[in-house]
Amino acid sequence: MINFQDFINYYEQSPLIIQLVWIGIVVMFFLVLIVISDLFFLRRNIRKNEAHIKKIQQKFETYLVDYLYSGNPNDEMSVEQQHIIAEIHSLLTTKLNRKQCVISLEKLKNEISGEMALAIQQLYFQLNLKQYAIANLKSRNWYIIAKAIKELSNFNVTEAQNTIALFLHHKKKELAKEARLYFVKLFNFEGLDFLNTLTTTLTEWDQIQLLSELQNFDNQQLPDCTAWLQSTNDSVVLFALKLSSIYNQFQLKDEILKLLYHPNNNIRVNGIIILSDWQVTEAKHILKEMYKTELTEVQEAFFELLENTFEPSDIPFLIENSNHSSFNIQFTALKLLRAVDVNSFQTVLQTAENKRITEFLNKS
Amino acid sequence: MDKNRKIVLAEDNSTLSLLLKFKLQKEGYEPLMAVDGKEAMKLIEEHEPALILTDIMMPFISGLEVISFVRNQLNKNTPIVVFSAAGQEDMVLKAFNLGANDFMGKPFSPNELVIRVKKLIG
Amino acid sequence: MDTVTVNIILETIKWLFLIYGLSVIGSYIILGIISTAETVEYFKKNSFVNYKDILSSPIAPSISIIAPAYNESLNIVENVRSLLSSHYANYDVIIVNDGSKDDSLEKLIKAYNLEKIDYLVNDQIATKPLRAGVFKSKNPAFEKLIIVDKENGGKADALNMGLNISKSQYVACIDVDCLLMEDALQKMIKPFLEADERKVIATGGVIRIANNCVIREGRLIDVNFPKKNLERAQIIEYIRSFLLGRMAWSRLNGLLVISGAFGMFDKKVAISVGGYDTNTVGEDMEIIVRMRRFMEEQHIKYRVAYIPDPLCWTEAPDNYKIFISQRNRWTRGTIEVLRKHRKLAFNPNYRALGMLSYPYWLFFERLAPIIETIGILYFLMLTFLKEVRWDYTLAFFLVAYLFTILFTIVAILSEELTYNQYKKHGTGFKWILISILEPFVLHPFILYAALRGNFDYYFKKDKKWGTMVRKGLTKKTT
Repeated sequence: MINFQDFINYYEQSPLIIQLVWIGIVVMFFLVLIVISDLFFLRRNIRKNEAHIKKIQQKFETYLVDYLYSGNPNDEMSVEQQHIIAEIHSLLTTKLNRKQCVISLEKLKNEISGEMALAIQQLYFQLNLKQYAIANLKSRNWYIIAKAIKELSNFNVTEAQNTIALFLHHKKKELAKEARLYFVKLFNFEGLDFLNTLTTTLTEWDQIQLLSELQNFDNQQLPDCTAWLQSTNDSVVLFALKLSSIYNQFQLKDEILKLLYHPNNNIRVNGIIILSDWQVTEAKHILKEMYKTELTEVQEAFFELLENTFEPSDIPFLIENSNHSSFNIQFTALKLLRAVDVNSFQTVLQTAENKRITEFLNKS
Repeated sequence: MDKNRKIVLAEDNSTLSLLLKFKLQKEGYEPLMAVDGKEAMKLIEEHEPALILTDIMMPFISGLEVISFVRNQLNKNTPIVVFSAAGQEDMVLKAFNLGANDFMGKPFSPNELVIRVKKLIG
Repeated sequence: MDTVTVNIILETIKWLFLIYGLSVIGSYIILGIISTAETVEYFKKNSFVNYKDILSSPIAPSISIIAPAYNESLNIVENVRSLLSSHYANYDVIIVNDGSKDDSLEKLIKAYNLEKIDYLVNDQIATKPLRAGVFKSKNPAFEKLIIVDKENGGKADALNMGLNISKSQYVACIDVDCLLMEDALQKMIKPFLEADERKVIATGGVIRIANNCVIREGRLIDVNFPKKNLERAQIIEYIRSFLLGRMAWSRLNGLLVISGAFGMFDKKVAISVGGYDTNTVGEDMEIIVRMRRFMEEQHIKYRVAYIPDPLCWTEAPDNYKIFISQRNRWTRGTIEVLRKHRKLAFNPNYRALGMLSYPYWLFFERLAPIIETIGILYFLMLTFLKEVRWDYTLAFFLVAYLFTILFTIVAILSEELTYNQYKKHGTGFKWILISILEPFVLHPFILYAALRGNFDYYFKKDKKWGTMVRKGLTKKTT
């Protein structure tokens, strides 16, 4: 039986490495005990939290629906509504509860429009929740600020705009993005002014979120995008192209034609796609001249344009490209040819190299 | 004869679901709630409602399948109204092709919804 | 050779093992810390994201889900249904029936109202030819579905056919019996959309183990902790590897593999490198390495991303025979890939890929079982020569064992803090128990499988995929 003193003697006589190993063993043993108890505590806390959240969410939901349906026809607050507000207030004592309350309100507000949405907003104000969000704008933690901005934008809190404007060009990208979304959400197209001075890249994700906000507005009158189409920031140009497409800005046709000469391939391809949708024949002439030096993906986009703006004078062009290295172009060229000029098609069949395509088209 | 006031509503947002249930009850209907397409199909088969309201994007079985189920498998002409988020135009087109009667884009006004329901089943 | 030289050699070997052991432990700790930082940042960035924006956006990019299937008749209809119910607007599902000898195709035609269509496949990547052809549904509710029936060519070949057929910008390659979560596509596409200077060429995510979970008709009803130790041990192995390993590599932009069960790729880049390699059993790792190599050689800034979100549920081997066969295949795959791309090794032209990722994979993944075996033999030899001090041995063993348990439980803690998938009572004890048992229940078999893998690679060239007996994901409730 080894007792403690024997072990100490043993330890002191061991080489350094072994001593270190034994220290390591003891340290790790205690660490293991700590993390094991952490695990149990954590699971218990999570369980408690989830049960609490579920209960409190149901409460908030019921209060919310009751509140919305116990209003007076003359838009004044009814006695019952005031009663409900007091009840909810009594629950808003912890950060967790406040957070869940805001979530319940947001869950509904995002799906509903009209006077009911305004009523929910009124409730948010009545419950004095905005002060917490506004206070969070001063946090040192970027994501607490970002969450606060999001909440304030969900409930149309305009009084915070000056504070939030300071974040528009913040170096933390997510924070700058939330600030921009706030302005777009509250001020619609005017909120896009930041595009004039933007130097960083507007990622596709940013663009998706901006477009999603813009679509929620009733007033769908897009301001003039010309400046943005001429921006030195390529991502702004791409975004402007998307806006032009979604909001049918046909009057910008000439600006977009100019973009066919832009050094960025992505911009050229996107420009071609829009002009193709709008069936702009002038694009076809410009592109035909540059065709030979273009990358395959630009050429492929051009062929889609060709399908939409086809004229008989294009037939020789089709014949030229029936043996292009790109499968898609070969196929489109031959398919178009068959559709518009069966005689030429039959002639080309002899010289076309890709027998699979020609056999397929000949059959169907 | 008692007019059929049953409405099957398929919506996975619990707060919205509760709100609509309340509203429809207030207007004298009998809403039956489902959280996904599968539940909706079960309720439709069992209760033969006068109207079906369904979200398009739902867990597991989409609103489109529900429409297909009602029109092609049950062969019923029950009026169907679909909800969709903004931008899902081709989903809405598909819904109409499959036989939906009306659609409401989200966010929508519950009052407006009731007006449309009344127009379809009185 | 005299005793002095022998002793010097033995001492050197001892020190080499010590250094190797310490660097393994050190690398775990470093990767663990970096992973944690990356995961925390991921959660912060995404805590207020509304994924529904991507859902209904007119500019959300197109995605094709490609799922190769071979003799999956048992569950193919429900698996396809589960793939069709993803919450994303702009996607389609391409099922490639890879020359199945069963009635998979007939079942699908019936369930989804399919009809054959005339279709000319773009043959930019060479594949085995079509068999019964290309099918689409007559029912508009299933408009997203495309079934391709072709001659058997293996998983890589089937995926390549999918690449040829897809007209989308991105492809998500998935095992057909993987239960995809509804928001998986939205979550996976986000890294691609957030790219600014560095183009994202591939994204991977966390794969969950579905053993003992209740799945009905292709839908996850209930999550349960598995019953067998082998299955439980694999869970903690996956968690350690995903949450404390791959997240770090993602941050360092050194990921060499995203799971073969589910991954998303930029289609154009995948096709530019020629698609999957049909001559390797490690095709999932091989294509990533090749795509990275391509981007390095083109001098285009890029990254391979990894997200900690669970994306899909899959069945893990539940008996040792199949498990060993799987790990054997993984080992051969790793060897094949590292050999095929040995030009990368320590090559500064390939930056992090050649100077960090490749050496790490070489020393700590590919060579680890070999070194461990040599260590065991060395130890046995010492025992034989009666040179062993058993108390020292015990001490080393204890410290390594305790470190493993510590690391495992830290991984479990991260899983609880992030997704907390196993909520039921009693799982806490099960976690601890399996953490203690795993080094005995799993590790020896991994070592054995790796040795077999090395042996088979060098001496049995004709071995290929082996069979995974399909039990299907459907389990009855008890």
